[in-house]
Amino acid sequence: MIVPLIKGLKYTLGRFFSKPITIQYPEERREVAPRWRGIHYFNVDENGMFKCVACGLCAAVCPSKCIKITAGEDEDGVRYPMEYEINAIRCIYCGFCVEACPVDAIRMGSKYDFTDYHREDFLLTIDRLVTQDYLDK
Amino acid sequence: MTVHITINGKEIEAEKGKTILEVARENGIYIPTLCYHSHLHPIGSCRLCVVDIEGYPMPMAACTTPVMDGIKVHTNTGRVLKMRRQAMELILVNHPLDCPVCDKGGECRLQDLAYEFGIAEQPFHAKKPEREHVPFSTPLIRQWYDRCVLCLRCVHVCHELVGNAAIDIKETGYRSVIYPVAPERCYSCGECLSVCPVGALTEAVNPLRGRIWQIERKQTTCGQCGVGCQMEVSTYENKPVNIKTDDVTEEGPNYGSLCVRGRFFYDYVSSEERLTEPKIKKAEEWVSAGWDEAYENAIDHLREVMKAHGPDSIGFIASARLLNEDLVALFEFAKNGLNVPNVDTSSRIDLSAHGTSLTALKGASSFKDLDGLLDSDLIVIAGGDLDATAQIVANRIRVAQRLHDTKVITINSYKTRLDEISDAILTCNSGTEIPVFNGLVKAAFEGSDGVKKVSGWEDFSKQLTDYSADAVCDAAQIDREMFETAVALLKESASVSFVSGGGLGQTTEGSQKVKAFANLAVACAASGKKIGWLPVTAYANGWGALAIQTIYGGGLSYGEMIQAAKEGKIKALVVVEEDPIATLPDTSYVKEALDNLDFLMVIDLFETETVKKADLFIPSCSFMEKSGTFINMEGKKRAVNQVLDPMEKTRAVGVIFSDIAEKMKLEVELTPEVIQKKVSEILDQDGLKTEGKDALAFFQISYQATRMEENGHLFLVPTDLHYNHHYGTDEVHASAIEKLGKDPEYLINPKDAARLGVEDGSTVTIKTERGELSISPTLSDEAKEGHLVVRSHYHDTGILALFPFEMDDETKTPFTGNVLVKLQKS
Amino acid sequence: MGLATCGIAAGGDRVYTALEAAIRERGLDVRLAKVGCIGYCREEPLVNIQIPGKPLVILHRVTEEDTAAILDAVADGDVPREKALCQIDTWDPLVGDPLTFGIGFKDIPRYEEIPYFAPQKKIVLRDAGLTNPEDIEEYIAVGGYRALHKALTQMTPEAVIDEVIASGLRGRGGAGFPTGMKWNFTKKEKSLQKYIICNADEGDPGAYMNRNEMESDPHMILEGMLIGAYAIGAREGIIYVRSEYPLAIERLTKAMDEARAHGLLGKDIFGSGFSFELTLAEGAGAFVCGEETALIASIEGKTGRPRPRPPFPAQKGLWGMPTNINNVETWTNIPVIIQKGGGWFAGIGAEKNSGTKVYSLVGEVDRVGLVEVPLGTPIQTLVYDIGNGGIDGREIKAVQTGGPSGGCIPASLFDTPMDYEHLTAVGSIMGSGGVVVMDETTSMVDTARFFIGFTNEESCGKCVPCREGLKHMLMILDKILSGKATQSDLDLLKELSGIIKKTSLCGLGQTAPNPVLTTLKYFKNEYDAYLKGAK
Repeated sequence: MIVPLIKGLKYTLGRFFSKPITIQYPEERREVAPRWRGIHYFNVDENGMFKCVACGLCAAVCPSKCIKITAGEDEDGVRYPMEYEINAIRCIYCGFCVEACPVDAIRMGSKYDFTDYHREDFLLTIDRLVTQDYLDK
Repeated sequence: MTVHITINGKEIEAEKGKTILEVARENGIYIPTLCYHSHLHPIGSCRLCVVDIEGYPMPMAACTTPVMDGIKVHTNTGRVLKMRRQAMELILVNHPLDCPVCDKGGECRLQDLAYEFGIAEQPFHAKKPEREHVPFSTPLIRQWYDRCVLCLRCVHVCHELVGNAAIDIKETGYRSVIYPVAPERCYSCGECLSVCPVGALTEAVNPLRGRIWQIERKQTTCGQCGVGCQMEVSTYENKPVNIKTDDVTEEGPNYGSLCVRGRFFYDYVSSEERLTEPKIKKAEEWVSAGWDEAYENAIDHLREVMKAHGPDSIGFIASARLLNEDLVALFEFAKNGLNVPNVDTSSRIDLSAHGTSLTALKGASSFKDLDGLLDSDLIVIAGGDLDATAQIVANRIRVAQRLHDTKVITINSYKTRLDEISDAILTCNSGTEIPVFNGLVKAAFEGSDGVKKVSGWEDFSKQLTDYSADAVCDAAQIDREMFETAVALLKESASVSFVSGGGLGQTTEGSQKVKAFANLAVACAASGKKIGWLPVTAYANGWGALAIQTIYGGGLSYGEMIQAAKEGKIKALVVVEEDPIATLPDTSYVKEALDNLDFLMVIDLFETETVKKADLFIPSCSFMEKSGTFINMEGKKRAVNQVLDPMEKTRAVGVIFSDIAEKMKLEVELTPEVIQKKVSEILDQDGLKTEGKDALAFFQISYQATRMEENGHLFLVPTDLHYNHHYGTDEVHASAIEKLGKDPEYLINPKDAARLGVEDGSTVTIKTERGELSISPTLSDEAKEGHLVVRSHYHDTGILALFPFEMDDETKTPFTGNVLVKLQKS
Repeated sequence: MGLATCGIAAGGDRVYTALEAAIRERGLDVRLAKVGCIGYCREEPLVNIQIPGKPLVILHRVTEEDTAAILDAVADGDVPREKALCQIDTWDPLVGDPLTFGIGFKDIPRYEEIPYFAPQKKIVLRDAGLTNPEDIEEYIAVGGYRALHKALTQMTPEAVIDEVIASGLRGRGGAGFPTGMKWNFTKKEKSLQKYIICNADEGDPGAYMNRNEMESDPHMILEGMLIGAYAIGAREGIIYVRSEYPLAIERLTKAMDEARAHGLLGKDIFGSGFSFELTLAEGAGAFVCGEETALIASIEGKTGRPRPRPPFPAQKGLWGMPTNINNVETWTNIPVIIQKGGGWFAGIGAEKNSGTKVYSLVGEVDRVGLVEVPLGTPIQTLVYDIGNGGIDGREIKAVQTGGPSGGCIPASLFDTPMDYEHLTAVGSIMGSGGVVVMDETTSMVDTARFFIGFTNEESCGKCVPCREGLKHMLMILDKILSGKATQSDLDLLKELSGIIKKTSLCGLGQTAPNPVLTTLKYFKNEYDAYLKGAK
């Protein structure tokens, strides 16, 4: 009867002195796998410009219909998104948008948590997708 | 004649003369095509439609091969499938893989075909020659050389349907490129854009783009002129993205064709310049107001004027572009609610003369719509450049000529594009249309028995004695041989369509001109010919407005109300989506009249010149933002469907009047159901009411020859002014207009220029009693000697100010045109 | 003095000036006249000397230095023997009375004895090189316009067409459609206006028979067209000449002016009530404009591109009116047929291929020139008997007929009679009559590359197979020639040829792969030699 108890305590004591596997979230964050599908961001080219050509494929493929894109064309006939919005609350992080993108404009980052006080703050616009201001939150 | 053929073993009875492709399509047998277009002659460039015919060593192109009795066609043999695939591979050799950035992505014929053939890779590789980019023939369309598959649809549509030949292929072989060979001939109608199966031509009107899966596409009737074209508006987030006709190509009256207005001027409805709030003028300053406040303001002022001067001192002027439902609400409100007698619409300006003519033609065997043009042996066009006023009608005439060898007579006082296909060009002096019509009746029909039985002939034939061929050709300065040709054509044709442009009714003696033209139609009908009578209308609901104002009757006309305002008899005026300052002659007179009013209430979309003078402004919405009906130039009812929600706070005119009526607690009921019922009482199920068969009748014509020869004087001929300046109210806010940026053109015959010492491009002043204008004329043969032709496609020219304020005795249509101007070098 | 473009190119104009100056200087009673070309191009410049009562003597390879010798001899009533090519004592211009020049000069070979001329039968070129093309009187003197007179005054239009049908004349433009039937199609159409067109847009490299026909005897074309117009009921005609033929244009214009002055063009010709006007249109030299519908488009001022048929030009042609188009050579045959009768004409040539055909025999052959032989003459007669085989005795490997879209026929098939059916059977075409001879030194792959290069340049670009396919064939051929190609490229080439041949819109594309297909068939070994690893 006492033996199992000691066995248990031994195990417990052993854990006291081993390296803890808990991390101090949110102060500490876990390293994610390279193919982790975190929050989206816009890939930029060497000039710092985002690459999106507003083809609309991400919006078309999105199963939760969380991408809104208004396409425009400038005077030189170059397509660009006049408006681009990902609703991070609706998003299910399936990553289809990244796969559909023909120009590697949208990618998924490693950030997996996203908290804020207002619903509007979860709308990722072009500016936010480029600057990734949500990384600091 | 029918022939019997089999396609894939299925026995089919087919009409002789049709192609294998047409027969197969009718019977639901699929043959892939790329360059084939049902409204064009077979092009035969893509070679995708090859089929095997038993007994023929080579496969044949289904689109160009007519059916022959007894042939056995196979559409899916291994050989043709392979050939199609190879042809497709060759087409794709040079096509770039830029679908993501291509406007056509998602609704591209080439994409569909590539999927259909399952082409993922292929053995051919090639590189297209680099070429310098040349602007396309219109700034509204962007050309992408590398996406072009040279199917040639655009070239064919421009040659066959539009008759412009503005684009063609340049160079040969693999260097071939679609090139704007004659950009000055381009109308910017965008037919080439609409038939392009790939994204080689894309719209460059406004920046907004929408993928097929993002947008909503809904059919409606175009509200920009009276043709009543069916079109599909693509919308995204309550904004129009583009206008397509892909799914309405088999629907009349336009069969998928549109003009520059219909196809490209759509974005004025979402213009930022739209006024969306009611405004009240307080101490010469506009103050935004709420709807209730604006309504109260209107009610107070109207009651005040009514109390002080009676209902006769109030007038309502409405646009004939309003829906039937809007107009009925307005007439009910004004006539039955307020008991105001003076209510009129702008159909007064371009249709009332033609309205009268209908009564005389009722007994005729006639065509009912624009399709009748295709069944006519002869088309007589008078008083207008149809390519400027109603290009769709001009296109139909070209189709009739191409497919059925229809003959054409043109009667105008300047050269028009349709003269190019005309068999008898009667370019007459301005104001001599009546002698020409009378002369034609006399020369072609005087001896025939048919006309003698028609009432009015006896008196009319007495009038005709002065109009011998010699006298007419001399007075109108027309070519005698052309006149004889026209007479011969009128005599021998079994069916004749008459197309009347706006130029007839709006100029001096307008009602007489239209009657004289109608007499020609009556004479044809009396001689047993089938006739068509098609007055081109500037306003989308011209016939509807005319029918409604005729039913409600009485009161002062549009022009008379302005006159009465000038004289102080009208104290309050409600102007609904009309701009009298930009519509009526003698601009300063109209302005003074409006200044004279105690109260001016204007309902409109934009800040027009008239709005600037208003005391109260209420915003209304465009035809895309409401549902109802138009009666188009054929007299047919065309459904207007709401494709957009009204912009911000704007309301439809019908809603505004029913709101005010409710607030005023008037006895009229203006619910949608009641209005619907009223409309169906006034109009038939399909359009204008056609009462029982009346007998034909000739009109008596009064004609006074205008003096022509006077030193330094020229006839000022505006080319269908009301159609052109008409854009000035709403469409002028379309972004396409800015891109087109066409200045008005003043054309003067080189002989006159030499006589008057005017040089090409020099500045001169033209003067009338009413005003003067500084212009720089271009020397051109398109102007007849003694005439100064004004071609103002998009901009207000200011020439309205030159005309005196005069109206037709019968129709009360104010005249714009046919005035002598003095030309001075400055 | 033979002064067609060929003669001028050979220096004939310099000789002419020298002769003219010398005659003036010496004050001789010699009339110097320009004539067309008799067709023996190798021997040019040619000078005909006709001393009254003596046979007509043709001098060859005349240079400026020879003028003195020639005039010395002429002054003595003789000719310089060392320059003499042959003599002609009598000549039958077919439509008129035979001409007798005279007898003499026993030591100069007679025309019939010259191997180059012996197998020939001159119908189209009967006056070429003998009469002055710039003088209507000479044409009338040799029987010109008699056929027109006969047709207008003694025959109904139907009778004229019947005569043409009876003659079995087939279109000389290449396809060989029976001319009488074609005329009948246009005749049957009801229309106020009908047009006839003479297609003189000769574009094949190495072919110049039409040029010579126009330059040597322009009135013959006019007469043929007048008769045709009468038969069809056309009141207007157009001669469409490529602008690269300035001399032909000049002579045709002159001929038209002269005919007009003589009342042979214009209103009420020969008092028959028949009126006809002829105009000349210059083509910009696009090869594809030889195609009927493209030619019509070109005359109308549009880009010269073919359109699908139907409607055929006979139904809706120029300006939408029924239009009949025939090649220059077709028109030139008409006067003879009317004058001598369809039966006489049908008696010449082979079965279903009556009459003669003018060929331009060029390439690696000893005697180059224009030859006219009855249809059905075997290739070997042309190449060996008339052409005298290869230059310097080299062996002839193949001939290529029918212009750039014709096929190459190997020497082993030289017994093939040259008529429409037999040429098609061996994978080539009659075309307009160009015969290019290739000897053992020629690479057949290179030849195929040359012709594909030509058609690729001249493709109008309308239909996909021709535009993209030919370009691609050219790329493959270049690859083969550079030795980088593999068997799969060769297979693709063959397959591509098949698609282009079967699916192209007009004749150009449908025949363009012929040079490749025939060389692949008869000279596959040469292709194999170029393949990767073969060397």
